[in-house]
Amino acid sequence: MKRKFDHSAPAQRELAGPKYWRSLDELADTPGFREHMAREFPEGASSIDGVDRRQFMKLMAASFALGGLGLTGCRRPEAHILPYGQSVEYTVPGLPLYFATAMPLRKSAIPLLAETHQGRPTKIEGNPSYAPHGGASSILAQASVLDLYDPERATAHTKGGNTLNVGQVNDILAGINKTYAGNGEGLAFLADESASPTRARLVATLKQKFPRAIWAEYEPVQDEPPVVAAQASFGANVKPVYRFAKAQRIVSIDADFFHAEAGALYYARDFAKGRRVTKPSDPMNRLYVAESSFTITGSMADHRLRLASSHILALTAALANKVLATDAYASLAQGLDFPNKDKWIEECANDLLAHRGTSLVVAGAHQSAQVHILVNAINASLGNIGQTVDFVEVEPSVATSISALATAIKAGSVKTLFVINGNPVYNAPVDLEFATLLKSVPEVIRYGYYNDETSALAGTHLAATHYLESWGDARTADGTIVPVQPMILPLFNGLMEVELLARLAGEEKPEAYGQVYATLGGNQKAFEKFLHDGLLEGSAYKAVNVAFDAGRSRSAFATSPALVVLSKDKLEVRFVTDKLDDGRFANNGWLQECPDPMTKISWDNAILVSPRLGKELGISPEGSRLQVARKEEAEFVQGKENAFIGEVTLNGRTVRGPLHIQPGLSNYTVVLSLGYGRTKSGHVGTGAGFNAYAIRTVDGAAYATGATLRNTGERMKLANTQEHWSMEGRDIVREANYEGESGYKENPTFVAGIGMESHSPAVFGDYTPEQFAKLPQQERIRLTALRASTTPRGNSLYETPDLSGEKSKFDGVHQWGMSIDLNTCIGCNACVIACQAENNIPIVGKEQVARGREMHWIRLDRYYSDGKADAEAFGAEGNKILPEDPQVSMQPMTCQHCELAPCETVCPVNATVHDDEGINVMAYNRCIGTRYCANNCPYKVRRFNFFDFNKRATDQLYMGPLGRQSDMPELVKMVKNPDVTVRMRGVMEKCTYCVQRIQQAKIGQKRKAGASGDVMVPDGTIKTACQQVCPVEAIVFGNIKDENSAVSLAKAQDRTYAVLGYLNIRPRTSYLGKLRNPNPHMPDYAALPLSRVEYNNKNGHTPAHGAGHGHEAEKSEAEHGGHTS
Amino acid sequence: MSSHSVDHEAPAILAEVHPAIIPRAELVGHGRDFHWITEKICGIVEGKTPVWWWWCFGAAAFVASFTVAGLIYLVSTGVGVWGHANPVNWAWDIVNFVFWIGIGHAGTLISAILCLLRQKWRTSINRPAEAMTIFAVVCAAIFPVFHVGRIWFAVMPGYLLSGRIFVRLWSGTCSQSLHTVRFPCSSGTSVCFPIWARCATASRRLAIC
Repeated sequence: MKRKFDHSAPAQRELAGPKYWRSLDELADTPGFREHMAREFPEGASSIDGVDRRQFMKLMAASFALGGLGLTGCRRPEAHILPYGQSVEYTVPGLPLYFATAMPLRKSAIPLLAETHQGRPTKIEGNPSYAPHGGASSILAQASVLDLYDPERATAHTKGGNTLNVGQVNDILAGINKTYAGNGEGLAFLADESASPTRARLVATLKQKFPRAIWAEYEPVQDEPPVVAAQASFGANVKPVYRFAKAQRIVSIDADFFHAEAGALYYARDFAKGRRVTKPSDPMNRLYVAESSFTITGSMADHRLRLASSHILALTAALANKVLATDAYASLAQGLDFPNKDKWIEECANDLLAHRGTSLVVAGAHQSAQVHILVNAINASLGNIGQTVDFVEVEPSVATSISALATAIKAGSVKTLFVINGNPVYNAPVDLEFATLLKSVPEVIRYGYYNDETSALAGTHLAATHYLESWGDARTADGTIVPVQPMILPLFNGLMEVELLARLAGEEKPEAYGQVYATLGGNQKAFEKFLHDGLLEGSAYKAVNVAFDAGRSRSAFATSPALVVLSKDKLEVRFVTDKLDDGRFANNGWLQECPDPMTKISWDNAILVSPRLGKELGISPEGSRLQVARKEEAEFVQGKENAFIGEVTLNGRTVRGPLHIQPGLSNYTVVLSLGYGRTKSGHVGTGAGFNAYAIRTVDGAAYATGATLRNTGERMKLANTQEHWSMEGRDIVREANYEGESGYKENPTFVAGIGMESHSPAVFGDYTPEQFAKLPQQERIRLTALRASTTPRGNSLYETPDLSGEKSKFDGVHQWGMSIDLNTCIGCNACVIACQAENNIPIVGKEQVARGREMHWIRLDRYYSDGKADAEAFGAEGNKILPEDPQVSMQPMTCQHCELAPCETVCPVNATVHDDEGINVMAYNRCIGTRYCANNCPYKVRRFNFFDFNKRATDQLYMGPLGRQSDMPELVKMVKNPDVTVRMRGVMEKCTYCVQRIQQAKIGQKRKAGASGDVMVPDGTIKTACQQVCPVEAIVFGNIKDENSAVSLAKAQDRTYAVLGYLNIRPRTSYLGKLRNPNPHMPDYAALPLSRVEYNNKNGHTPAHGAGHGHEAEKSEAEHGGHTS
Repeated sequence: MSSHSVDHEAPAILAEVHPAIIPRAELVGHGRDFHWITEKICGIVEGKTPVWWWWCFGAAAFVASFTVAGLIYLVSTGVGVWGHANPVNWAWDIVNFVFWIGIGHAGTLISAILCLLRQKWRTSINRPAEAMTIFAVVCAAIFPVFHVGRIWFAVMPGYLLSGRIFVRLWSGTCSQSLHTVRFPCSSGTSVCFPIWARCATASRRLAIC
């Protein structure tokens, strides 16, 4: 650019003084000089030797072109940046955009909001408009976004190994439509279950067009009660929807309603409503669980009965006899045996009878129709129907079973088989021999998301779209219709399921959008509202009045299975699902790496055996003699679980897998997780674990008896993230009973009487925890806020920065804090994965997890307690025995954001420091990776990038310079949250309280505030990822300086305590103590939670003494001196 | 002594004072002259290096090359190769540091004790001891530098050493490192001073300066 310099003529005043000139020309002030002054460059600079620049370029063009041939590698890659011709609706660059959608799973769906950044979905949240979920979502929904960017998904339609283009695919579909026009003889479909109204409509059309075609549906696991049970009970096509919030007494009959049932998310949230107490006068529900495996539902139980799944019918019958005051079902209950059987059943029944209309009995979906009929009878007799359980009318299924399809294939009547989703070759009942059957079908067309075991046997594979790239619809467990809306164009030209069916049905306009639009009625306004809200208001299934028909149900009991007495040589095998569901998420690294909430094993499933069976098999080691630490019974070699490999044989079929002793199992039940041992999946899924489907038959889909287990003596290593399962009587999780002596009602501030702080001088210098707990709530809130912004030195030996007033270290408008309610936390792991998705946390692979290098910012600690831990006595009997029937305490543990953070003082480069709002922040750019902070962190919540986890594949980590340097495909990068730094190797990281969300809210508020200066973010605006996903609302986050915020109220509750509070590090995250609500009349009643018994044992407290803490703190001061020394 | 007792009547002031002849301490024994010393000192550098020395040097260099190879692998791959993990985030790196600092302490301690006890023969001991200290500190210095995750930042001048923005000196990493600087200072002094005299001899002979 040529600039014009202003060389104005000197003013008269300047001329008056002495004169200076730059040259004689200036003195002469010639026109030539004036021009020279105005020029930016000397004359001729823009032309070379008389040849002007334009000519020069022309002359040189040939040389440039030749040079380009040899030196293209040296040129920067050409990139075109095109501006939007027209801005995308609502798009503001840099800000995320949310759209409503839903994740369908079997016959239900989870309504969602997908967060998109410049057109790519990166994070899934629950749709808050759907009241039953209240914005929560599940672990599967959280992880599903990773599947969208899975580089190993099917990326092309193929036929016999050749790629098909979209036109060819359409031709194939049109061809089938034409070939089978008429009656459809020889055409068969095998699909997964679905709750999509559009699909139901299209299937109806298909059936109409091809009346003799077979439409079969198959799901390896059941998550809804069998419809035959409802038919037999009520004579209607209904299914139950439970209202846990209204239930005071809940009995779970082998039902894992926090995980395995359709609607688990709603149930968990509703259950928490009845569980949550904020003050002693609040009611609290009571949960009885009878189950064979140890589920997270069982971990929440107040009374847990370990009972084989095959004995559940007998238990239900016995309970029904008691509740219905009859002996009609006495024959079914024969042979049932467990300790204190009669009293257990009687007292449980009494408790139910005392809560007519406010009790609820729930049977697991996998249980037989007979169990469900009995449960319906009990609920009907207790008057619960219409109160705590609604029966809603559902459409009867039009599909036939996979067994019927198998028969048809065997008969040779299937010429073309469409396998839509699912993966029957892998997960169909083994006695159907589905792989062999498939080979006998002349034409198999597979529509699936992965090239999996089934695709390998199909001639044609059509690549499916992810739900985030599809148009569709679905129904939630309660029947509300929700849209499935694409966030992004199909990444690999996948075919949408609706379009596939529409084309097969010969619809004129097969496009998925149009089909869904048509299903919803074709009203533009209404459809737009439907898409915007993410649900169709008032579309839930209607509750109907049903009456239990005892006479009708009697026929269902005409034949009943005899009760099989189990033993070491006659075991029961129970098939369960864990985070991989039925195996469809096997290639999802987030899920594979997420430790199971109970076993804490990641990247593998195991043959779970009870401690007693373990002993009888001779796989129990001696326990640790020399250390207090009670390790799990499988031996640990350098921190890695060195498990024996066992063989389970059932009906002549055998499966091999690592043996893991799991406390709390029914003695002779062996638990196998489905979904592992995939032979044709991606890098992540192939080879992880063993395939339990290999011994699963049509009749024993959920459990089977008559199995044997053999220890092969071989070993394999398991990646177990928590080998130490006892709290050793420490005060990490503080528990009390809800009622009874020293219970919460008697002593609401029980947490203050537990732990070292209860003996030490007041940390903040004003009140001890007990005194503090006695203050009025408003005063507690005020003090919490005050302490947060002034950091009083208190009685600290070390000088804390008491910088009150202007120089305060914490002088921000907000002071962030978190409260986690251990009483409602069910340990579902959703927070772990939500955090991983939000914060770009990499996976590290089995080998690294085994070394303890997992990167999850949230660690879900699971403790067992049996009341026998005796930390004082090395090698004491209590330290060596694995509890058979422990209580479980879950605790999400993450960075506590200590105000006086130990990590900060040791960092040599100020990479971890406090901001003025009380967040312990990480400056990744400064971090040099001394790991000093992690060593000094008392909670052990800092995570270090030992390798380039974000760049390298998990099997390339040790390859050094020889490994592939950048192994992260572009596709995988797309899942990253652009608001969060992707950390490189050598950098420490940890929970940031989702600082990116905080900043975004603050910026938004600042913009909104404008000149008003009201920059305080309103309470509830910011939700951390873990808080947002939590179905039980256990996590509350917010501004503790704001005395009216939810977190201030939570922190002001009686049960608030800080983990390791005695260290005087003043964590900003506090916990609310856990409560148990056992029935004093039950035979297994424990007057104190077992972890509390261990605490008292360790610290020499007697129960009465512990209880006395609250009342006679001063009096007992002298005694305390004795045992704290 | 006896003559004094006899001559007690002699005048107190002597007419002439004869200074006592104190024999000079024999710093170089066996009547050897400067030439011999110069030959001895320069002979080490001028003479032919014995073959056994080369063998020993080769073996030592071979072993020492493990360090180089290890460090290349470490830096190019990541500190995960140390084998440590959460919650024990330090392993052989810091153990080795402490080990070598311990070796360094030993050298200093040996020479300090000999010095404090005024052992005249200490020179032959404390020089190797001090040399050991220096080399031990060099070995030790490798570890705090290489144990970090991003060494390219740790060794960047201005980041750890001269910057004031980022450095927190009271962190153990810094204070410990600064503390160990004492070893090369003290041991270096006691090793270097005698060496300088020898270097001067050799350089004059070789007409280097």
